[in-house]
Amino acid sequence: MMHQNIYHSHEEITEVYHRHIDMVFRICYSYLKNIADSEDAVSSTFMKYIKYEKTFDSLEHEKAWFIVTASNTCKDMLNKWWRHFDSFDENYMSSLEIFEIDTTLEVILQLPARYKTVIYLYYYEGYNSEEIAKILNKSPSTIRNQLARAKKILKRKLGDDSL
Amino acid sequence: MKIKESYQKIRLDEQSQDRILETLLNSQQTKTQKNYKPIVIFITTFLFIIIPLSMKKPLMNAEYESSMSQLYNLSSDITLDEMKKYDFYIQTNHKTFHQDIMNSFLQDVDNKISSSIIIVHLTIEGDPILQDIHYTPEKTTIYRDASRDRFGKSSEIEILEFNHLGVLENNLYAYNENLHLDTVVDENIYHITYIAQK
Repeated sequence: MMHQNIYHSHEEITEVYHRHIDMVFRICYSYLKNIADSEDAVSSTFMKYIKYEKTFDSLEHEKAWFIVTASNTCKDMLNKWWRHFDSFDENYMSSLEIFEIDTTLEVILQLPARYKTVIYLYYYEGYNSEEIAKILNKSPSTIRNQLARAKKILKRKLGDDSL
Repeated sequence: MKIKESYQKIRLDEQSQDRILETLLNSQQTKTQKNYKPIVIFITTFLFIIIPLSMKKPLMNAEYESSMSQLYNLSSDITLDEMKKYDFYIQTNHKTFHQDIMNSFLQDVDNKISSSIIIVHLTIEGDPILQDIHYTPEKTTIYRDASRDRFGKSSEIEILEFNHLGVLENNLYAYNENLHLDTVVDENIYHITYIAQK
């Protein structure tokens, strides 16, 4: 392609960016566990929005699109890392962070990748399993199973009071 | 509650937020300016890149054959290492082999040129499932061979037909009507594979 069509004005991009940046960053950080890579993932997610030609039916639809796109962008990055790097020093990366990582957050970050989005949507965004299933295009029973398994891990590591 | 409070700590500072937004807006501007590149650049590109590319035959995608799938001739004992010697797009749990074949196939689909590709996935137990995708602008035929899956039910090659082939969010789908985030759960939409990159 020689050129890029404009689907969104600068004002629209700025408005959407401010509406979702916190959520997109939280999702990306929960997958990638360091600020530098999370910033890259945030940029890629919003670049996909800039190139996205269709319009959203509602703000909820827009939000769901960002949740799915951010998660997929991170999975894609992790997939590339698996292929190109044997390992990277997570302790060194997390020592560069600007916010405090408490025990709870540490346990959340250690959860297997397949539970990250589900746990974030359930605990932070307050969606129930049916709503999460709709957003992620999965069956409610799959989401209920994933939540149950993730909660079990959290309970084991943090105790009952944390949930 | 503790979990929600912990999530709240994950926040990008204002300065970084502004920096990313500025980069995004600038990148849109830069790319938009390319619309007005002089015609000379277009002609040069056409002469030196597009013409040679269009003359170059796709290196590795199999010649499109409307008849039978190559899967029928494959040994039932074939190993993963042997498959790697073929021009198959292979996805294991941590690695992808022959990404260039997938890229070439997707380019053919973009250009509405009949093409085919054999995709290999591994089950959790490590058994290969093969899909031979035959694309034409009119229809897509998928030959799905799960006979090497020890825990699967199918011992024969299954044949599926769809009207279209498309990529959505780094995933390749075959479908009959619409391909959209809202419709990927429809029965008429068939998920073929995750694409690491295009």
